[in-house]
Amino acid sequence: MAGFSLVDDSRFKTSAMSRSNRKSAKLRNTGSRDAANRAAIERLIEKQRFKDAFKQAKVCFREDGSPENRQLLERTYLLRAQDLSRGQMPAAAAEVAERLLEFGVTDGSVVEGLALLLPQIGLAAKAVALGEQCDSPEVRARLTLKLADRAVLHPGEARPELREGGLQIRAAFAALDAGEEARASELLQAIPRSSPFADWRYFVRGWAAYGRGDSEQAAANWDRLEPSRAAHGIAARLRRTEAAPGLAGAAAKEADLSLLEAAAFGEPVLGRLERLRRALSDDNWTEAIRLLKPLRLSLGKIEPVLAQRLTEVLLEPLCEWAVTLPYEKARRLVDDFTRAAEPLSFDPHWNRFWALLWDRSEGDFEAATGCWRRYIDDLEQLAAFSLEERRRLQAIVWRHLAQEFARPVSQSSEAYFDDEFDDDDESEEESSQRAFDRQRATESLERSLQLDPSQRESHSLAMELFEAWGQPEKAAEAARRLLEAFPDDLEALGHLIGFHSKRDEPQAALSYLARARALKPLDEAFAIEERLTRFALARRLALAGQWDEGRAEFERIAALELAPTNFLSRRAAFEFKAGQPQRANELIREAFESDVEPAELWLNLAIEAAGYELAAAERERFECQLRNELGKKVRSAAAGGVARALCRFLESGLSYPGLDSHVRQVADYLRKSTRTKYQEADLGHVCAFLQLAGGETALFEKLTRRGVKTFSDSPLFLCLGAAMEMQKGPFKCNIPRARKQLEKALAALESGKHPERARLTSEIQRQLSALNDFSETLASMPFARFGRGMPRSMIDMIESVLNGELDEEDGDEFDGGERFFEPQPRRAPRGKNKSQKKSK
Amino acid sequence: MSDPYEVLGLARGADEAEIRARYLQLVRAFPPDRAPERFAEVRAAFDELRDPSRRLIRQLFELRSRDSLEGLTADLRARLRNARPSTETLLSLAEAP
Repeated sequence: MAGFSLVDDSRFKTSAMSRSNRKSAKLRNTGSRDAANRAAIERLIEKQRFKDAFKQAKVCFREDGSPENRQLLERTYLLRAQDLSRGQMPAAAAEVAERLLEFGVTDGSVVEGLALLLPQIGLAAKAVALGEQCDSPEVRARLTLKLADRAVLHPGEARPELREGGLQIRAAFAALDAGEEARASELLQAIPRSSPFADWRYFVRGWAAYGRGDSEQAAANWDRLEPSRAAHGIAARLRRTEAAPGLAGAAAKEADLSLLEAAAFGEPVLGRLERLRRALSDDNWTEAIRLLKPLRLSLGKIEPVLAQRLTEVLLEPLCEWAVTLPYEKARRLVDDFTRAAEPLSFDPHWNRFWALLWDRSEGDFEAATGCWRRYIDDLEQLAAFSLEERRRLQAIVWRHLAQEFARPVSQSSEAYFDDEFDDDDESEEESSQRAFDRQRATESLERSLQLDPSQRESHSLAMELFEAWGQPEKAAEAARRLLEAFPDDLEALGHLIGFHSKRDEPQAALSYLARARALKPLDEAFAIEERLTRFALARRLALAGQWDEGRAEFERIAALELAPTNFLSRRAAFEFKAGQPQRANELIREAFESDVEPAELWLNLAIEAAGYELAAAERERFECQLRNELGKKVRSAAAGGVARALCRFLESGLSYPGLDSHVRQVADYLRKSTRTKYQEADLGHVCAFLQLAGGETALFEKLTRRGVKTFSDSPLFLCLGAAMEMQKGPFKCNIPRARKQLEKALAALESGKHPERARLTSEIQRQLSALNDFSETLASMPFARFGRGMPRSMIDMIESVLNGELDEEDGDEFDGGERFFEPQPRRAPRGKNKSQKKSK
Repeated sequence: MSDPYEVLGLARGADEAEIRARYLQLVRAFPPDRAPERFAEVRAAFDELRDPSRRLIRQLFELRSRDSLEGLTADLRARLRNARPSTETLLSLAEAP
């Protein structure tokens, strides 16, 4: 028994067995069977086969009652009794001990061992009698302590002289149980330090501290306990409840706590939990699942939520393991797990779990969809949630389904790489599948919104999807629904302002702008938008012949804080339309007197003339002036001005009659600017124009490179440089270089004060997101991981494959062997369907 | 971020009223002027839990538990420690194998 050393067994095992003794015995009784028998008995003792040794010793003694054989028999008697006592068979141990007493003990060491054993097996009186035969005072003292322990553990069997002390300790325990710690303390104070019960005094004090949660005080008392005492053994077990699991020797501690666990939980649990932990760390899921079911039931008896916690802990590791297995094996494993584990209260039929499993990369899309639909049905009944929560959850699941149905069109990387991936020869089947998916996404979103219109994300997703699908009216309708639910939503307001501006509906746009400006009066973007919208309104009023109202709009624009750059040209166009050419020409003169660039002014007038539908003569006058200006030598400010004027249209998608012609003229003008010494802002406008205009890739790249070189810390040029890199498409784009430029631009924006900080930051984040998506796609391709790490571009990757650099390991991994997720014939792995097709 | 339930010392099934009550209790115990770090931690946990949609989304889509087998074992050990066995059970530990 732990903590109790009854007798020094090793002395019996080793001393008598020393080689020299055996050798001398052999010499004395050479050839004698007796000596051989004794040697055999010693070997049995060495092997701790005490029962056999005891039987053999009896036979040996019967054959020859020599003193040696008698001593050997006495020893084996004692060893057998000790063995039975250790094995929790005190009655059998007592029987053997009594037979030994009847037989008579002659060996001094056996007397000592037996005297210390007897109290343990309920023979205290005989122990005392035997103890009197002992010469050693130490043994007598140890015997007294054993008897004192016995008096505490079994007061009924206590010796009269020890009974009182035992009862006193028991009374102290009873006082603690009754919550009377002071009374317990009083009882303990009466026990002197020299008493054999002194250890129990410390133990009880420690027990009181342990009950209060004062581990320090408990330890201070229990550290004083004598290791051979019963109290020390109990304290050691209690202290093990605090030991961290997984430490060395934890297995040995399992049994120690089982008694406490049986008392507290009804059965031992910690040991089985530890075995489960070990099985999982060995990835032995078969063993883990075998342990899981009974463990789950045991935990459930303690508290149902514990069984669910166990399930929760295991779900992610199970998924991670399952995806590494062949399909059938993984499916069987997950099936077995769901049968053995306690279902979560919010997923009683495991539908959510299966759906999440299928949702994973390369999962079965249709299977996931089916599971989610079943989970929506489950949610109707789930008691784990309130009615409101159930509705909310159902709405979330429907939204998730909508996202899944619409996923291929909402990938940000496609915004940059669309041209490269454009599937010109989309088959009829693919086209109808796409339409079907869109329909399912729309229906799912509608259900989500019906169930819970208070979820902003659902409205926002609807806006995003309809916009991506080229259905601006539906996107606007979604924005209006969002505004109904969230009247102060700036995203929806911004969307509707843009929608109406693009449709040349300035009145409607202004109504939303008023709401947006009330919410964010200092927002510069909204202020600019208001100015532009009022210009548009003034033009609409002019076209309708409402001159006074139109002029009033110009007055309102003039009152706005931001000075409009092309105010005079617009006002001049208005006055031409109103039949006031003199006033209009005055305004043009006024514009020339300001710092405006003539080329920019004539371009703006030409644009406004088209918008105001002025007479052909007036329009031709402005066009002629513009051509003259563009025929001159290129200057930085003039180039920046004309580029900026056209960027406004190219960026927003707005148009006017003659836009294409102006783009061509300006592009021709800029083509002459390769030797122009540009200012940073002007070159920025020029590059932005060339990027948007298209067809001027060489010039754009040349000027952007110059910008990156000349203005190396400019966030604008770093951003343009990255955009230029990305424009090369996925086959040629140097992803690390583009990423580095974007990160540098972001850092520059954060540290400095750039006038277009907000716009550029958002643009950079968009580009980075696209780059990340594309990098992930590259990394997940079968030939992405070849010998020298990630490829810089797809071209690099393909070249490496063609050169045979794909190492064998990578090849094996994609040899068509079964994996948990079988490839789906209809839908390729998400986010890489097109790129994979192209790469092949 | 660590488990908001753990930060607030709440059971996983705690409802909105319980979450709010516990948050206010912790804010009184750890006001921002005296324990700014703890307050920030409590506030972040509360923000995560008080948004019902956010909480439900997390519950719905997250397979990775913030709990662990070690956490479960520690919980059981704490229960074992707090169970306080009877004197007879306690003393029987002396003779258990």
